[in-house]
Amino acid sequence: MIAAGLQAHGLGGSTDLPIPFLYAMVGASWALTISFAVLALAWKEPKYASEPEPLELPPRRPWLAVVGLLLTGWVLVALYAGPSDASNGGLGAFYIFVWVGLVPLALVAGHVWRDLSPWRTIQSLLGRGLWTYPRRLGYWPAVVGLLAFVWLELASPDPGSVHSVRVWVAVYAIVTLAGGIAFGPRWFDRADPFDVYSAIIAKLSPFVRDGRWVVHNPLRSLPTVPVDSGLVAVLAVLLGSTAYDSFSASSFWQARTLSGWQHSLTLLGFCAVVAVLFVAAARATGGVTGAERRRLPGRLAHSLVPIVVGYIFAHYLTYLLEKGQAAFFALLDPLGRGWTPLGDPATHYFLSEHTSTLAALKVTFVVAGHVLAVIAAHDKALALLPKAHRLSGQLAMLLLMVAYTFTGLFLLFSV
Amino acid sequence: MKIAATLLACALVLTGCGGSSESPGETDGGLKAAEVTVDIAIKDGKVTPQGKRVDVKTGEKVTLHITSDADEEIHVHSDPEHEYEVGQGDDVTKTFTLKTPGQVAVEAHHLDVTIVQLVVE
Repeated sequence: MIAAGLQAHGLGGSTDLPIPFLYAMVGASWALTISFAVLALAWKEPKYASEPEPLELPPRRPWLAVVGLLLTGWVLVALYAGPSDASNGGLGAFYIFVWVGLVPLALVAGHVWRDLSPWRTIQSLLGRGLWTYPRRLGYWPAVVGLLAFVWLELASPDPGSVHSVRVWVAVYAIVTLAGGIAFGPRWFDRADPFDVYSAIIAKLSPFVRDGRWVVHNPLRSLPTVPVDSGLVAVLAVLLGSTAYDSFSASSFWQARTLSGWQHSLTLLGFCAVVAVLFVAAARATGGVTGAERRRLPGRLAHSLVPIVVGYIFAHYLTYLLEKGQAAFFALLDPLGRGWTPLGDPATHYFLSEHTSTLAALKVTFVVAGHVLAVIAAHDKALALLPKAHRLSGQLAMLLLMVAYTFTGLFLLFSV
Repeated sequence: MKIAATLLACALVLTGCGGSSESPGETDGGLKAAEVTVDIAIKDGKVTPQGKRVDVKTGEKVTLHITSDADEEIHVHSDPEHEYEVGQGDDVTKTFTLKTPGQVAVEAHHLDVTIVQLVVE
């Protein structure tokens, strides 16, 4: 049996309880208090803006490239040669380990996706690319790829269908490889949705900087997210789609019978609203020329990363740690032969069973992400804005971040 | 404002780290055979209710009372999952219990709608 299309994330099973009202209120009051404390009391000269240019990344580690090829091969065998129902191991690997696992991996170990990526490995064996990657494309191909993923997961008619995932992965692999062969490694830095996602999150890693193990303040490496056109859109798709995921599970939305188009356009609308508000808030300052104003959203975009990470952890924590167990056991039986090399695969619901702890963790993630975001935006605004507009010029961004966080907490508490 | 927030946060941290403030339902729920019944009507290509929330305690018996004028598959997205086939003119009851806290969707597969979301606490 294929799981019903409405089931969020393409995988069956239960979802989290709403967090208690008190927890949402505590989180919201903390977020508000700290925001204005940062604006009023924090440093008045930029601290992190004058960081040295990021070092050139070390060469890809061959042993990790081999690990990447083996893991990818394993998952592809499970996906294409395994059973065509919900027990397919490739399904969970794709939705849980690739999409959600990528975030903690990048936070702990930096952008190892670059080393693991089988597409980069194959490309590197074939030469340096035929043409130069067109500059004006920026991150936009990655935006399209990310939208294609979140559409499949959240708004397509049947995200749980193995057939849909097989088609999606086949198209992704062909486009990614063809682009890599055509444009060289630059293609993966700007166009591969998972590679771009990992590279951006890795800038928030406190342990790895520029591909080297160094314990450091992540607020120092965060501003070095490479700015290019489409960067705001990348982050808006990540944040907007996660918010849509919560919203689409609400009673209000489930009570309506809607077409696939209506779901898809609403998903797109969530991402668009996040992006438009961010661009407007970043530009809302006095004392800069038109050209400077247009560059502000991109130069402040890195400050959105902690909000994205905090909300994604709050939203996907049980999904990763609890559904991830079933996905792991399914991967150990890639061909659906009933292999259980590690014994009986029973899921331990250690988080879901402690509802208060889980709710506290979720609020903590959201508020921690918010605080880091506000500090990052404050520091960058000090560096970018003229002296007379340093406080007033960052007010709109501060209010928008509070609005994002309140919306996130509201969705966690009401759905 | 700040003090109130700090106090609330302290309360949050305490309850959060303790992780033991479970509802008292767990202790006396085992003695009383509490039961929740959800009436589901599938008629003229529509399901009633649709998207409704129903509160359930862990271990409590949940009964779906389904009347249908069409063939339909009812999925209960718990672990393990339950699937019930209903046919034209059927009037059936299905019973199960849920062990883990969380939200469990009960969906009509053919009509592609969420009938109820069981809020298990």
